[in-house]
Amino acid sequence: MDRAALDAAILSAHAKDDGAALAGLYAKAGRAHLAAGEIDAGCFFLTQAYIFALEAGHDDAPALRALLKQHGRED
Amino acid sequence: MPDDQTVTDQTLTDQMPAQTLTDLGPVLQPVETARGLPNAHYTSQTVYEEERDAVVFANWAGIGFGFDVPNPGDVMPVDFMGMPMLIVRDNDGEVGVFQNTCRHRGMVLVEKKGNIRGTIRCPYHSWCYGLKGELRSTPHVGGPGQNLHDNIKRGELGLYPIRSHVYRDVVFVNVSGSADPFEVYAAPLLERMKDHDKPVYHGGEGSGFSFDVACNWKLAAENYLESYHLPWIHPGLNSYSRLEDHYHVPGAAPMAGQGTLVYQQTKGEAGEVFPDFGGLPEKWDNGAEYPVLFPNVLFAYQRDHAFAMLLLPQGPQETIERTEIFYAFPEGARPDLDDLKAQNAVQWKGVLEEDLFVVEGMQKGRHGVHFDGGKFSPVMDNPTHDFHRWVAERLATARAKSA
Repeated sequence: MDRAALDAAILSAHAKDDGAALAGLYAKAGRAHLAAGEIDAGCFFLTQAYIFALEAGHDDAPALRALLKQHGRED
Repeated sequence: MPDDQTVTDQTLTDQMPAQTLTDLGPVLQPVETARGLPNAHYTSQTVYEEERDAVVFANWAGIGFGFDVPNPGDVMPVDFMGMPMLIVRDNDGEVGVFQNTCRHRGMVLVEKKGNIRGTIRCPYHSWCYGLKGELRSTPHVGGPGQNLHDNIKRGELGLYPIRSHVYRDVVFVNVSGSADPFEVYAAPLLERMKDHDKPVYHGGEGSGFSFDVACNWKLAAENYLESYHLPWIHPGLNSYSRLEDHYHVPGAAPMAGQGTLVYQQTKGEAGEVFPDFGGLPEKWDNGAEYPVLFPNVLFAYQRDHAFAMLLLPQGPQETIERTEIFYAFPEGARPDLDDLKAQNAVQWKGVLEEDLFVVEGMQKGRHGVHFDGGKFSPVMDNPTHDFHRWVAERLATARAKSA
């Protein structure tokens, strides 16, 4: 999924208030930025992912938190 | 001009106490000579707010029911006398109440009843709270992607807890946090009704009803407290439950009420009845009691079913009366009694509906500028006087503290 398609999917998930989908899509964006060495951008998107995962009680929430913690962004 | 303005403002300030405070002295007299609460206690927004703080928030008031949030993660927002609160059932099954306000910018957190699968997320900046109120995350609070900041101490920024207690499935709150523990506060009721210290189960859909009534909340309590009105307002009772079969529950504020010696079980067309609450002493075979736990919860204790009515003030002259009926068996355990439960709810709704014109009429009557609070019957109106005196005492104490 290219960046434009990812952005569109995120907007669509927001429109549907689909927290679980948002957690997954933002995580995908965050990990892509981290892989490109863009730590701040990556942590921004991972934060978005973490919050929606936390709200939804999604299984990915602990892993996202751990990733943010690894970068000093969560406790 | 500035000097004139200063004088004017000071003059208004000086006059304010005389304009807003009511004379409680006559209310505090013995029932033989007392007067009821003055009109302003039923019509004035200022006095309504004074009572909200000194009478309702400073004591234990009912705001909802445990069955409103039956499952872990269930939340129900409640606007109680203007105060946003959130009833929550956490993952341990415990009911808690929080101020429904984000600690960040004061946004109301939850607007609709529902189920929280994970955390309560503020719809504004997405601060997230656990079901026990703890602040779980503060996204971007230290800048984009940075969720920590030295000045944001999560351990100090959980949801503001409202002291709460569940009794007979009624969720009580003490907003001020300063009242005695519930068990101490309600001791006169708990002691008198200890025979009924047994599980109660809401009857399910159809076992509750609400009235939106054009009266001050206190009038609904006052009418429930006494049996004097029964032969006139509920003539259907006269054939089997005469005035002389009723008695005052001995006054022990914050509880007062009435009882009957001739309670008859609800019966269906085929003679079917509800199972009794187990282990009740013999006196409850034909006895029932209807106490009010001040300020706003009206209870019924009977052998085969119970109910609780919450008085939910909507303003000085408007109240929602919410009644819910409970049984000795869990919902769904006796489908053969579903029709009888429906019949019972209709029956109680009809009886309680008969009181509406009375409380609304007393509300209208309190716009009579020459009404002096009224004169109590020293024989029949004792519980009503107990309630008035209790309200007046709470107000007098609060006024003395703020003087």
